[in-house]
Amino acid sequence: MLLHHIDNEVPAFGEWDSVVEAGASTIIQSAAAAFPDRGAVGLRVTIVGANNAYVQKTISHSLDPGGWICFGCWINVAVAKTLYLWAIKATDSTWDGRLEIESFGKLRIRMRDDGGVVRSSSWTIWPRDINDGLWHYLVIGFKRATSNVASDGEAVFYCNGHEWGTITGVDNYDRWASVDYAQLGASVGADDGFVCDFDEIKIADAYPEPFSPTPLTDYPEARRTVVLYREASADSREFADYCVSELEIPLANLCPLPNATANESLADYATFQTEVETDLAAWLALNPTVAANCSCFLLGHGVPGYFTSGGVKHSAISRLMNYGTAFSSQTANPLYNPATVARLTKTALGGKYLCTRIDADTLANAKTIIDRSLTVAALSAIPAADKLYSDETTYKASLACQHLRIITAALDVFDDDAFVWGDTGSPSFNPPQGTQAVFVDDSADSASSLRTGSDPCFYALTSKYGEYAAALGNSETADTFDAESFFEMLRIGGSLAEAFTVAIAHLDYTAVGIGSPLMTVAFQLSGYNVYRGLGGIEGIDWDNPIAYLMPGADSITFAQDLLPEQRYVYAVRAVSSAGVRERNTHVIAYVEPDEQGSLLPAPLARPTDPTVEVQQSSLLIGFTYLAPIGFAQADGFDVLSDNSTGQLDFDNPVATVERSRNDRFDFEVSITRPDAPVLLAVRARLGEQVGPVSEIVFVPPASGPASIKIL
Amino acid sequence: MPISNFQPVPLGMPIAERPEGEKQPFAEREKRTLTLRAERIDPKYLTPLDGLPPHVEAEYKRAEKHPTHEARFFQLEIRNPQSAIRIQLNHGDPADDEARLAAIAEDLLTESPGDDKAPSTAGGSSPAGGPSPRDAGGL
Repeated sequence: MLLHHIDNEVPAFGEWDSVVEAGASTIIQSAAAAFPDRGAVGLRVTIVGANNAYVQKTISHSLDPGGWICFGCWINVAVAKTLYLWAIKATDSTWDGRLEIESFGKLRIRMRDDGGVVRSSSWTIWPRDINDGLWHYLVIGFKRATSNVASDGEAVFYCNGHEWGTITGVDNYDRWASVDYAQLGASVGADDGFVCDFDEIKIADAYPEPFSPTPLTDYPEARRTVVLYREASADSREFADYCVSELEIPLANLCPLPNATANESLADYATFQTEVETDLAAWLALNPTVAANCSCFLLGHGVPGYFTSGGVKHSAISRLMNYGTAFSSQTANPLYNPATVARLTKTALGGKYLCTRIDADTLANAKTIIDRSLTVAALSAIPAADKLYSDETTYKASLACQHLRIITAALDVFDDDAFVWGDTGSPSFNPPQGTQAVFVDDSADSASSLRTGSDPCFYALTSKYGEYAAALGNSETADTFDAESFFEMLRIGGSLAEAFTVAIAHLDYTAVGIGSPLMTVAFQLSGYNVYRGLGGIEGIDWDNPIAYLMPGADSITFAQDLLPEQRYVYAVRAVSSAGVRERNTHVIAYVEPDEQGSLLPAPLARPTDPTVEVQQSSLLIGFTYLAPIGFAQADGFDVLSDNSTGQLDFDNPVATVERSRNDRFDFEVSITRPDAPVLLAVRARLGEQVGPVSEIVFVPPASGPASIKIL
Repeated sequence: MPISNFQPVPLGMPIAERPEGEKQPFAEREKRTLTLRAERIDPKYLTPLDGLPPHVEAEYKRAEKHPTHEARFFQLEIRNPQSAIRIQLNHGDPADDEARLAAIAEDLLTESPGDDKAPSTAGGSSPAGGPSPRDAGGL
């Protein structure tokens, strides 16, 4: 149970009971001391001379036999000195528990027993000085013995979410019956020059979780991402903090791996468990809120990336995608190549995890991969000149690939390259350099080391060669990667980690996904969509284009299965750079195969508005011909008559009209007026092709009283 | 210390008007000599001849009324070792301020930084300054 949460946001130290400043030393509420993920101010202690400065909180908490009390806070030490950070006092006594900076990088806890004897232990928690400018979460806990003869009191120390050690077997039943108050800051032993920020203080009867912000969405995001780092490595720690500052990963989401070695590849799975998985499990157990939210792991710089099992070099990211399930080499990935690619919420992941890795020969190069991911993600769209290089001819000819609206090319020397997919051999990168978003080499051993060597992925990620933001390869035996699922996930706005997850055929195997898991890629949205319908426009499915054109394209080739003697209509609509599809349709074509499968020509339209005017002994016949979109223009017209038989004579027009000008739509022609009543009509003609007949006009006999009328 | 939106409040009751025999809040600008317990003070701070605690005087400087609490500000003067300490007391009964100030003064005179850095005496912990479990692990 949380007894107190002091976030220092109440003005004038309202959450504290006492504020003590001696001499020129100060403790202030300052925005500069605020914990980055929450609130506006924190506490800053600045020590001048040997003068103490601290705040005090009245606890007045009784401890049951065997009960615990824990004190947690985030600290950021700017200038380290040897002094006490926490001092805990039981009722009417001198101090009873303490946390001390013993030396730069070493912290010590002390606990007084019933006899007043001090028990203590210290741990070197940082691979470098404590004043590394980073935030660290410290927790000290004290347990009252279960009885006055049990001597089983304890003290425990946690740093950055994992336990560093304990003091056990303490006879403290009487002294620790209650805790009176706690002092935070420099309460004893103030040392000139010490500067430290404190925030998000929690006092609880069990380990208090550090504050971790609630995720904003159900989808993968920074707040659902846990960064694993090798605690013994200053570079690894700095890289993890770089993920905080650049990717906005919460500080509480950094998982230290205290047992990880500097080896990139481990001897076996048991070693991987010892160095990575067991500590990850313990950390998640200690941080259930983060564990509940987490959907993605990022293996940071310096973390082991491989282990050997069954003689095969397995990938750590592939293993952690299956975290929580017993390791079984080459497990089928249930998320691979879905029928419909959709974003992966934690629920949709079904217990699996997203996972990527960022590692490189140097810390700077590892950071650069993050920088590149941010550059790629910030693009409003991949430049139109950029290409997708791949030898996946089937995919490149597919509708899914067309939808990317990207130029495709065969694997070659790469320039203007945004993506590479395939067996690249020894990739060669030439200027002009494209966006260089994701490099995928699906061959064996294409990513067997990210720190040394000459694997294609190493080449693509190392600035001496390529400057890619992300890569996907194999640690040894080639896994199967699905291009369509991968690119479709990116196209719909999914993250890199999501794209890897739907593209990798197996878990617990060899796939190595490299890059910021949160990176997104914006493809060109503008262009044209092609639609098809059966019969007329009313038959078009406007929700499912059958082809996509890039902006500026005026032709596209794609295969279609058409039924003979069925008339299909094709339409094209423009799409804006914002992805808005226009409602007007500017291009329509009718396609009709004959019995043999040959396409019939475009149909002729029906002439409209037929009129007949009597002029003495002749008839002036007028009509209009407009060829709508998708219809053919006529090169002439036939005037048909029934010759007073009641049936139009289609074979022997009584007159013809040539269409000599493209801008002419109204036509007329004179014929001799017959004595008998006749029916007249017009049809368009294009070579041997004739169109449908216009409305029929009835012309009465010259001697009769009846008038001309349209039937 | 940052000062937020607060209102000054009157200091304590004038000394002449106080009832006798009860704990009293500090009066305006009142100075009081605090009574410290010798057994709670590091012997090196006790007077050499008679082993008494050093003279400690508290002065009530001002008070602020905040939406969440009242803050009362004091100046503590300790003779031998000579030092001036600014203390802010929040919450609580002002009549208890004298006792709270005395306890703080005792804390400040309790010990020096190294006084308790004796080696630990029981199992489960490492000697002060000696190798820690993590050190032993080679990190």
